[in-house]
Formats: sequence, structure tokens, C-alpha cells
Amino acid sequence: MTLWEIALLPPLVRFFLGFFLVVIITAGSVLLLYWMARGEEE
Amino acid sequence: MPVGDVQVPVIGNDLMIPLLVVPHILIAAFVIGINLIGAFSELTGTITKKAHYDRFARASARFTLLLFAVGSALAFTFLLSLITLYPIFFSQLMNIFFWVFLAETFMFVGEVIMVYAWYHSWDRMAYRKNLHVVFGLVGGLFGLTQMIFIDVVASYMLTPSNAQATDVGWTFFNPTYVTLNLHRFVGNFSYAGFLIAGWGAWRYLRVAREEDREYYDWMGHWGIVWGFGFLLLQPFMGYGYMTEIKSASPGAFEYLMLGPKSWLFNLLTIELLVMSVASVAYFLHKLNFAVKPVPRLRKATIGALGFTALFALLNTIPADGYLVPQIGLVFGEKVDPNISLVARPPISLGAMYPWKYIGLIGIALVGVFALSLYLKATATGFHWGRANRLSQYALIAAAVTVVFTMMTMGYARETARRAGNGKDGGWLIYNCITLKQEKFVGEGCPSQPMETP
Repeated sequence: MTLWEIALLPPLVRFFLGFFLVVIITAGSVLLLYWMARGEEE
Repeated sequence: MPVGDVQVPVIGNDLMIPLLVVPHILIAAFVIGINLIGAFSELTGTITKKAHYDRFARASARFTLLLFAVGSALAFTFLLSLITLYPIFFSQLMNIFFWVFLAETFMFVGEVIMVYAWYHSWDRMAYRKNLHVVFGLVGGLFGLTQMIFIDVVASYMLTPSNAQATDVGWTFFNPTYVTLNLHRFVGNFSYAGFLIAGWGAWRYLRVAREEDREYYDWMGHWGIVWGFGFLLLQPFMGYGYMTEIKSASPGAFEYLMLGPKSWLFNLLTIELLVMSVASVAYFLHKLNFAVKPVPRLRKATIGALGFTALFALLNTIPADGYLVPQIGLVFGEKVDPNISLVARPPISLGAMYPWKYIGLIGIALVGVFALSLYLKATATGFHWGRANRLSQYALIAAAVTVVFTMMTMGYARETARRAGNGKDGGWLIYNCITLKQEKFVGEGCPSQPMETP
């Protein structure tokens, strides 16, 4: 087993981490744009 | 260092790609959908001379531009990661699909140019609306064509054609190419529609000016008509897509529908339940505000809501208690993954035949019925700005659910390539390149067998 494999989180933890990171990245980028464009016509 | 030996710590290489691709798809699919809905909205506004349509179309163009940058940045980062982490796979893809990728790049350029022109010429071309609409439509068509090109690659990865990799025409028309395109084409409209409805509802609950309340109330209605209308086509499109996967990559089909990932489709039916019931319940509420009272339509819609819930609930019944083995959510024996779909599973109401067919066909027919009643009432108009909070929560619930549905189905398509190659394996191109890029497998692979350099 390599050092990288030891440092890896278990598959199930990675699945949920991935899920939440996807939600955060997507929602974060959209909300950032919304915040920047606030006040203009919608 | 050997080629392709870069390792991402903690999250691993496998998670790196979806972390970039899923947000990209969530944004890109919305951009395609809202661009086209916006253009059709402008066209409708030009014909009907109603201001809401034009206001919405202009906001769509602006939103498309804003989101386009994020979507493109994620796609670019994803490509960089793919080249770095999966160089052999990427090299193989580029060998087969160079012309596809090249054409897709030009579609991006075309889309950017047309959408910018569409947005920035809004006032300048206020008296040449017929020509101006064309900008939006062509921009949307560029986006759609871009999706059609990338679907060549996406479908090939799951169901590679039996033709040689150099046979460019036949690599295009692999078994799931057409069905995937249809599924995504319809899905883009439905996804964007529900999100527009959710956004309209969110804004409706927050604005105070009467003019804005009317506009956002209308936006919720406009979005849900697109969202629910196209959702009704999805069970048929999805069924066609799964049928092609079943015949071309039966291992992947079993893994998804009967194997350890069958919970994804149980989850999908729950998401379908939320979106369908929320939509029909919204229609029912909205009929209260029809300009011309429609008591008969309302009574019929109450029935439609009941049947929608019934058929949707029927779809959610699983075939066995072996629900999500990955987290230990198991209540009984697993049905043998090799059984035919007509076999009797432990929970008979969860059988694919006939119950799921009845559920899916039923929900589509009742949905068409409910939507027809609603559109009939729409023809005479609604009093906008009077919707209650609960109806807006229904729209928001549908919008949140559609995002999870996209994630569920995207994950399903990609995880299907985990099937049939050992515990830690899976395929980058099904039956062709292993996930570890150790070697290209000859049998069933359109390339000549060869070892990794």
C-alpha cells in the first residue's frame, strides 16, 4: 500500500464528501454571481 | 514517474473529476435550457405583446452570460485534471474524437458570440424584434449542438461502438448516442424550467412591489409549465436509454437496475414523486386565480393530483428490502441480479412488470391531463401576484429536487462503468480501458489490444 493510498479517506466518506463539495461549489458559484450582480434588473 | 501516476491525496483521483464535472453539468445544462427558454420567451413576447415575456427573456440572457463564465472555468479545470490524472485515457479519447472536440470548441465560441450579441443589442434592436430573437435562438442552438457533440464522447464511454476507433462515423453512432441526446435534450428544458420556477418563487416571497409580485408569480408559472411539461416525457426517454444500455452493455444495466446501485433508481422515483406532486398541487392552487372561474377544471385537477400521488407512490415501492448495501440499509434478501424483470421479487408491488410500467405510464398520462387542464385555464389568464406562500414552497421544493435528480442520474450513468471489472476496478471506456489505465482490453474494445506504455 502506497503512502497516497494510506492518506485516502474511506470510499463511503469520499462519496459523501464529494456530494457536499459538489453542492457547495455549485451553490457557492451561483450565489457569488448573484451577490455580485445584485441591484441590477432581474 | 510513470505516465498517469499523479495521485490526489485524501479525496483520490476518482473524486477529483466528478467534483469538477458535476457542478459544470449543473450549470451548463441550465445555461442551455434557460438560453432556449429565454429565446422562446422573447418570441412569445413579440407575438403576444406582453411585457413579462420580454423582461424574463432579457434576464435569461443576462443570467446565461453570468453563468457561462463559471461553467466554462469548471470545464477547463476538468479537462486539465483529466489530462493530468488520466493521460492514457485522454490520449485515447483524443485519438478517436479529435474532430468532435474541435467542433465542440467552435460551438462554445459560437454560443458566446451569439449570446453576447443577443444581450447587448436588446435596446438597440428594440424595433427589430424578429431579427433579435434569432440571436437568442441561434445562441441556444449552438449550446444544444455543443451538447450533441459531447454526447458522442459521453455515450461512447458507456456503450462503445463495435467499429474500429478510426472509423469516425460509426464511433459517433454508438448504441446509446441518440437516446442519450433525446434524454438530455428534454432534461435541459425540464431542469431549467423547474429552476426558473424555484427562482421565481424565491423572489416572489421576498419582493414587496405589486409589479414585481405579479412578475415573479408569473415567472413561477412560466417555469413550471416548461419544467413539468418536459418532465412528463422523461420516463419514456429514460426507458429508451436504459433499453439501449441493456442491449449494448448488459453488465452496466444489471449493476444499475438490479445490482448494488439499484437504490439510485429508487431514489429517482422519490424525486419524481416530489416534482410531480408539487407541480400538480401548484396547478390546483393556481386555478383559484383564473380570470374566468373554472370550477370543473379545478375538480378534475383534484382527481389528477390524487392519481399523480398514487402512481408516483407505486413507483417508489422497491422490489426487495436490500435497499442501500453501501451504508448497511438492508432489510432482507437481495433479489438475484440475474433474474428477469418479469420475475416475482420479494415485494410483489415493487416488480418492474407490471407495476412500474403502470406507474410510469400512469404518471405521464395523468400529468398530461393535469397540464392540459392548467393550460386551458391559462388561455383565459390568471390574476397574478395573489399566490399563497405554500404554492411557492412547492415550486422551491421542485427546484431543489430537480438539482438532486440531475446529480442522481449523472452519478448513475458514470457509476454504471464500475460494473464487471473487479472490486476496485471499473472502466473508463466500458470493456475497453480499465479505471487504473493498466491496459486496454482487447475483447469488445474497438481498439487493438495493447499494454500501457
